[in-house]
Amino acid sequence: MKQHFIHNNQNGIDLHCFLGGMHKHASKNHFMKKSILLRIFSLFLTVFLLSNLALASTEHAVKEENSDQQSEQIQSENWAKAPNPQNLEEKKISRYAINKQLEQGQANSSQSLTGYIVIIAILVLLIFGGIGAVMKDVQKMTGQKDTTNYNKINGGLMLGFLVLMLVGVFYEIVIHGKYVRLDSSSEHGQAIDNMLIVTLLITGFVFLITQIVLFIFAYKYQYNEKRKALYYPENDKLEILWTVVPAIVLTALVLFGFRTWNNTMIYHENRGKDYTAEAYPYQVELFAYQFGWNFRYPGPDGILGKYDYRLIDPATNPMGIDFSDPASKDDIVTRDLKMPKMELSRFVMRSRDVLHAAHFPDFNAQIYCIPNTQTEFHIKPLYTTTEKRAMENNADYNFELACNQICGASHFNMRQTVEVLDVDEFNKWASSQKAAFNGTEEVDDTQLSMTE
Amino acid sequence: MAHEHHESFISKYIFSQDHKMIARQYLITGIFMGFVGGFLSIFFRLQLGWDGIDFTWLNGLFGNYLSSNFNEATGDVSYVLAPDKYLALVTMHGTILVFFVLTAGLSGTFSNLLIPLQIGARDMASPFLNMLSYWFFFLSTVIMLVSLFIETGPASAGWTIYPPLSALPKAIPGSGLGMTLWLASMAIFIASSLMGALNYISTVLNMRTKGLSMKKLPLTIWAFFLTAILGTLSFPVLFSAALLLIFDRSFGTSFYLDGIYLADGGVLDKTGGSPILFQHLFWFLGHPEVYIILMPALGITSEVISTNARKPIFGYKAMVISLLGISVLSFIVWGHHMFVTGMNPFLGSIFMIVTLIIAVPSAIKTFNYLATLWKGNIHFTNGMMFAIGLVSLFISGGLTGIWLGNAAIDIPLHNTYFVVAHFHIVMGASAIFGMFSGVYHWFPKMFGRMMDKKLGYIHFWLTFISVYLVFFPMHFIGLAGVPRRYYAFTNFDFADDFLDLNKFITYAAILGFAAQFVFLYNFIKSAISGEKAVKNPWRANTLEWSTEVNPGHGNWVGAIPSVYRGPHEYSKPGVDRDFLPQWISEEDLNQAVDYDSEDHDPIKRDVPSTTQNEESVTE
Repeated sequence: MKQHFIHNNQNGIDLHCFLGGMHKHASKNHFMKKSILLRIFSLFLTVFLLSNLALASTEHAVKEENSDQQSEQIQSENWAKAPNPQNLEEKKISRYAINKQLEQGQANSSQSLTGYIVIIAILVLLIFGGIGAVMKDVQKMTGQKDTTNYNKINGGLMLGFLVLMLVGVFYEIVIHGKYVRLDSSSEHGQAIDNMLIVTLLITGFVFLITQIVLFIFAYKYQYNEKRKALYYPENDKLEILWTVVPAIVLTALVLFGFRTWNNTMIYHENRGKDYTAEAYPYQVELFAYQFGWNFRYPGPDGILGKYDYRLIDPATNPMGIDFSDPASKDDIVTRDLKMPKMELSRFVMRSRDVLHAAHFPDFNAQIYCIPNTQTEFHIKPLYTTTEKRAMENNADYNFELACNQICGASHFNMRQTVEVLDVDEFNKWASSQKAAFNGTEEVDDTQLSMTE
Repeated sequence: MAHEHHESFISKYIFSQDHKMIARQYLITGIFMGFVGGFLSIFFRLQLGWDGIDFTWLNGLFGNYLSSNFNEATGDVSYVLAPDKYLALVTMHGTILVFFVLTAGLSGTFSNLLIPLQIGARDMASPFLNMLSYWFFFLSTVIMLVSLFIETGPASAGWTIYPPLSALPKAIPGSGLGMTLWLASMAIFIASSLMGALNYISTVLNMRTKGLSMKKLPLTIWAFFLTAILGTLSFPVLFSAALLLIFDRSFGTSFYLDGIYLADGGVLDKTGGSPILFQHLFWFLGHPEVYIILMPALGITSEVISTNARKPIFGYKAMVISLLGISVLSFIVWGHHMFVTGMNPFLGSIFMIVTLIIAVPSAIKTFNYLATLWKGNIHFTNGMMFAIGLVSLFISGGLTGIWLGNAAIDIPLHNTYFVVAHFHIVMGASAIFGMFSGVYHWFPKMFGRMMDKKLGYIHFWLTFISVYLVFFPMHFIGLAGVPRRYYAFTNFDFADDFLDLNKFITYAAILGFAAQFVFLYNFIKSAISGEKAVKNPWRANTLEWSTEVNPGHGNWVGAIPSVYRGPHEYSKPGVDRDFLPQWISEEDLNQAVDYDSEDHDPIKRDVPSTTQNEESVTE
């Protein structure tokens, strides 16, 4: 048995053999070999990275010659195109193009920078690792023992991290807290904001308490050889306490959440599910496609007519409206999304191709757009665009609609502005629109040109 | 001994049936995939920090992701990331990290290593199946990696591969061959995962050593056991979802497709399907998957915290019950991923209740961890540092789960950066921290050597700080409503406030990624020439530390030890040492046992060879 054991032990499965393909011998010579292998590996890695660096820098040098000229040119182009306040709408169209160019111009100066940073970071770490290894070798040679008290150092660092974390949280709230939207521009959105604030306060409180307790315990109960840990395997009362208290808090949140969720999503309580023009005077159909949006308003009769995706023709009938339905004949197809202030607009969502999601960050509203399936969302805006601009003290402010379900290459580029008008203005706008039906069951495509 | 046998190089290192070698194979593959996934994230973070940044330096390897911009004025060609390939990077980053690192890399490594060792078994119930499980995993890894380099790019519909986008190559190029390879790879992966899980379940149920009742199981084993059950019940659903998608893509069915008109191709001849059906099937796996990832990490942490705080884990029973509770509940909360798909509001309410109920067992676990630390005597080993890091991250990420589980709050936050921050902290970083904790803690068992603890501390602090620097600010971006999976934030007024913050996050991500090279260096160096380990370096109680430093195939020389007590008897009053191993019988305990002998051998059983220490072995 002993023989077997010795054999087994020598052949003990070990990474040496796995990596180096060598048989394991407990000799110094072998140890040297392994160190050398490791050094060679590091050296190889370093040379590889350095050569990359050299390569990148020569490319950079070549680019720099050209880029000065180029970036000047782009700059001047940008100044020429710079948006002026009177020409806001144009700005929106050319905005992406300008940004792209600007970034390209800047990218020329900082293009290889990131590459450098990555490579340099790796190099620095390798060097640190190398120094550490050398120091260890020296330590081995001189026979010194590492007497550092790592428990003390790390205990202190735990406390330091807690302080840093609290400062960081505070700093983040001060610096980026202003972007957090807690003043939604829709009625249900404000209820959601209230819900969000309550949740923030509760979870924020628990976050602070538990993190502080965690790191203070880590600091306070760091290893001390004079002390023995307290043998304390269980306490049913404590378990019940921290089962029941979270359960009660969560129950409260669930009940609060129920009310907010139902008020937001259950639309038909007082109005019925017939979607008549009387019950739902403001309806709009939102139609998402790769990569943009079409909208349909019901026209004078207040009813959205039938549709069939097989009738879709991007040039003549982009939303696939079935004009054999009388209710369709007065429907308006447009690229402008407008809503009346303080009135509930019923949105019906559809998609032409893949999944999209209509995401209105200003109104705390979001729902998926699914091909051949209707989803809906009801929004009651509280401010007109003009009022919001005054509130934000920003003449360029716009309510926006974004796609929020991965849908393809230009997913990030499906911007649509939403204009909220006073009811009178909205009605005036709606009645001035031409019906899409032009008598030949084909859409008048002049409505579809980019009027935004 | 019966199990001793000569092994060739191939049967020992490649097609090995030894659970410990398979664990190492899983770990090394997982680490490799972790670096691939991490690199992809740096790749797209650079784009997010600097829109339109030049990637000419990557053109050699990743040319298929770049589109060239020819500048006529200067005759200069620059390469920028193509918008659809940005989505490909995001998709592959998610897929690789969720499935290949955090499912197979984590569960595969530690379930394989610890289940037989901690329950006192010579190997898995079916070592051959276990070997197949690894090689299926390896095959799926290869296919997934190959898909990175094909001309049309890898799958690009997000790691959730929602149809119709994933079904229609005309909607995005990545849904062509890339998606086919993704589905093939995942099908093989699921087969691998099932073979592993069945093995884990049968081993835990049938092969526990004498005295080891379920009530005395270490929490790691409980976690791995329940994880395996979750996997067995939920992965087949993903398999069927993938199968139906394959049918839709290749065989003309329309399970998920209906009413589609494509700009490039006109009306699609598919009716009657529902894309939402796929989401239900996907998330029926997808949500348990979160716990398949998280529970092993929590199990590892429970053991590491208890061992290094030198205290019994507080509320062992409550810990097991909360794991059970999480396992059961995780099957009925999947709908919270779909609140805004237009589902029936009543159904949304139900999913909201069960989702918030699942916060209760999570809270119990957190408080129990804190109570375990209380009045402990904490050794800050590298494993312990990562375990404490996990608790911190689990709190931070878990609390934002209460936001997102609330259907009303989910309306504005769904698919925003808030979600990205939430799941990266609670599932990504937490589980990675659990994995690191396990690697540092059980490295001596895997390689017979110790990791360099100084490098370990550097690795921990850099990683911990950078995780918070990367993901904490994302909450604010999300609260402003900025959607995830956006190639650039320059098109929207509400999104372009964050250009500077995005640069900052990218710097922090690079720091975090660079820190992983410290780990890689430490891992390779220590495996080759680290300080030799002793039998029980952490003075732990569980059975794996009763084996030799380098256990052979069969784990124990001589008889398998019996178990006499629970796994967490640390600092018990009346015992002169602060630990009391599971395998020491009461009689042995009463004899004067020299725990502090030269090789720190806490086990003094009547086996002659155990007194042999490695240095005295002669040729």
